[in-house]
Amino acid sequence: MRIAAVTVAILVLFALPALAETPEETFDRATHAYEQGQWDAAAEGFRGLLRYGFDDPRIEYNLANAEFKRGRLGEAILHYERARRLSPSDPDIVANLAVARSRIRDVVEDPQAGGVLTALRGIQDRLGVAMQALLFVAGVWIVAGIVAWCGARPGGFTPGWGWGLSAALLVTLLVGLSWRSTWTRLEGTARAVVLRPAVEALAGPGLNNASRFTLHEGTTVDIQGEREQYLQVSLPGGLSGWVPRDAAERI
Amino acid sequence: MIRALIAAVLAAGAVHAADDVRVRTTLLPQGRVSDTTQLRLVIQIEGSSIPDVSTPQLPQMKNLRIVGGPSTAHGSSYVFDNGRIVSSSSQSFTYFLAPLGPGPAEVPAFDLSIGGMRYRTEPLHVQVEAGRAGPAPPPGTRREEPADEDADGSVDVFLQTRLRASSVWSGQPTVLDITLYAGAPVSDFGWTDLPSLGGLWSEDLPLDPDYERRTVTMNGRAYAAYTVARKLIVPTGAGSLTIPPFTAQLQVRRSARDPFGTFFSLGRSINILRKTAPVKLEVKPLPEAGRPSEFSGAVGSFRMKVGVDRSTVELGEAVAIRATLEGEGSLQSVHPPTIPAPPDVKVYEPKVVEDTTVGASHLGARKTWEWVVVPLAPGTVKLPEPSFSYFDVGSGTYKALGGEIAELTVRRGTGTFDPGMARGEVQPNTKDIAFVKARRGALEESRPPVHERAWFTAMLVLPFLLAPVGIVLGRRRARYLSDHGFARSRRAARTAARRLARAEGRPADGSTAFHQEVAGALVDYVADRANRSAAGLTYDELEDILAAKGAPADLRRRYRSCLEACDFARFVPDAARSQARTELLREAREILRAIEAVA
Repeated sequence: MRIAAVTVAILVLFALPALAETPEETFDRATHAYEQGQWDAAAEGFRGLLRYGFDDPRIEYNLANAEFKRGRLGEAILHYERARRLSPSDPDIVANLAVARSRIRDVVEDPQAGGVLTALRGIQDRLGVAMQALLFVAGVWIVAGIVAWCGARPGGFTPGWGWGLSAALLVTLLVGLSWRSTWTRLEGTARAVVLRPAVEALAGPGLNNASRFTLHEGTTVDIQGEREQYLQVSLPGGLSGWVPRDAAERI
Repeated sequence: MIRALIAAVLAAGAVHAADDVRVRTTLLPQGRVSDTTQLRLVIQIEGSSIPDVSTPQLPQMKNLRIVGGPSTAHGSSYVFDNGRIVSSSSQSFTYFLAPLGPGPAEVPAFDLSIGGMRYRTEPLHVQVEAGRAGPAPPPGTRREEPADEDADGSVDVFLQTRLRASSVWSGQPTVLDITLYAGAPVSDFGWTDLPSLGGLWSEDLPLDPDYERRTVTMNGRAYAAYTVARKLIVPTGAGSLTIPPFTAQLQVRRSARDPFGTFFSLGRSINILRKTAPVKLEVKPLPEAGRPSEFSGAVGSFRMKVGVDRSTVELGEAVAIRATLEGEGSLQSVHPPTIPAPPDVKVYEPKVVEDTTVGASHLGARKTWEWVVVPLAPGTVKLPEPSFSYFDVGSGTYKALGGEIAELTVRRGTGTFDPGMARGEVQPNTKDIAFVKARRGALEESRPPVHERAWFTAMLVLPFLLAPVGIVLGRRRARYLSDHGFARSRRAARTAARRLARAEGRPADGSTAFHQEVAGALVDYVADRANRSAAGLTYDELEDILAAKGAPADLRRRYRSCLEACDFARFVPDAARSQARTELLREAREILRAIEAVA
């Protein structure tokens, strides 16, 4: 009994410093490890913060950097994507994600990419989902205010107010659509990043199915469905197949 | 010999004659032959004078193919007949044919053009039987050989194929040996049929004729054994494969029956065909379970050695990394080991610097790949281990190979790292990631997105609720501002209540202020409701107004009584009657409340 008590006391004594460390101190310690080139320690520190329930883009970004330095391209892209979801306008996240993607083996062309759409996506990313949501609410208030004002005044809707209301309604509608599409693109669509060096995408969920194509580490895929231990994934070009669930992680 | 000639003449095809030209076709040997027998088709044209003969075009034959010919021969003879010389000429075409397999064989009838005339031959038939592909039976049971042809394949020469392994994994190489066993002197050898090996990848292996010759004894007979072909074969699929027969034409010198001929080595040489027996190869499929993702088809047993040409480099200098894979198995089509490129290091595509076959059995292979690696940042670079997976035939499982690469120390060097000298915009030397972010402020905990929070929903719904309220209030305010009567009417109750409250505060000192205030409140209330001036309104007019507003008679009577009481008190002050004041005030309030309720 006494031995057990002493053991528990010793364990508590050793555990105290760890328990005493605040999340901010853990963050600073992991950042310092990164600065010293201790990628493993840095990655472990940042990953520990995520386990505590933090959802900070700086943690995801720094963890992605550490994983990139460790040569784990899939993990790096996964956490860059998560950081971008939280802070889509951050230029460092966008730039590092581009660097990491340039290292992956698969070249996946997005048929919708390029031109006006890419520019629009850039604007949407800079604004972010939350800001667009707030702008949409502001638009609704403005439209409701104009309706109330014109409805209360004896003269009702003059042509000027009518045009103003139409313009406000249109802008609000566009902001709402943009918010919805940004959310769908960044958060609403189930996507995953391949974590294995290479994985065969099968024609069906099982090893008895033929291989349709090979995916390599770091490639981002859309999740179309799930069945037991397999995910049905697809590429922007239309290729679709089933990969083991542990071969890719959801963003 | 004589019997054979007689039989040949009897079996000859029909002879067509025009003038004195005769055509005769003969297929030798006749009757039953083995499928390793080479047949001769002889077309004989005879006559006193033979005009121009075009080379015969043989038709599509049944179970036969041409392996040689035609060889032509001319002849002429002169005979004295009753004192005059009679001349005759002959011309022959000889084709060499080989049976395709056991079964009936036929040379159909075909046309010959001789001197502008057409001659048609008769069809020729022969029965082909399966030949012997092994050693001759023991001497006591041996059959008599034909007189001059190897009609039943009895010349004691045969070919045999042998596989080093009869059951292999898909992709596992093995060796196929084809050996010629000669019980008679063989003066010439040539392949006539090398079948395609479906489902197999094959490569001819070099042979050493001196080393490969040996003597073996089979069924009590001595044979000279020569390995005539050796192939490295690699199954590309799985299942039961059959290696088809290989056919060769040999020239065998047969000993003459004449002892003098034997003494002077005057034996005849004959051409014979020999084919190998089909060989079965069982190919097992590679297991799906446990197959690594980078497995590219290497089957066998291998080991890998990894090396780097130096451990210290200056920034921008190239380092060569070599990985040598060696072992037993085929490395022909395998992918190079994978070296993941770490950040700050440029790893170029590998090139094969050595690809050789090793080992006495030629089953071994060695392949060396070289990567050029260029560090792009100073410091210590630890390259990840190259990885290579193969299927181990010994254990029947997949195995992975790796090899640690020594740590590289990258010095900045004395100069600047300039990958290009061309004039142009400032370009980044490396395409590296941006640095980590420092913490400023508290870390953000996981929260639901903005649009899933309650206040956001409230903010989105509120405008739809507030807009109608605003419209109603705005319109009422506008009416207040524009409609004076409406405004007086809406304010009448509040004004009257304030006056009554003010009356309540008047001192009970016998003055008439209290009753004036109460009467004023009652009169002004009705005047405001009717939007009329209070001045000059009589009791009757006030009653009429109330009646018009729908006030019942009882209420009008109470209203009038209250006014009369106030007027009476103004003229008959009674300071002591504070209780009456209270009662009057209460009655006035009730009357106003009742009018407000009904009118």
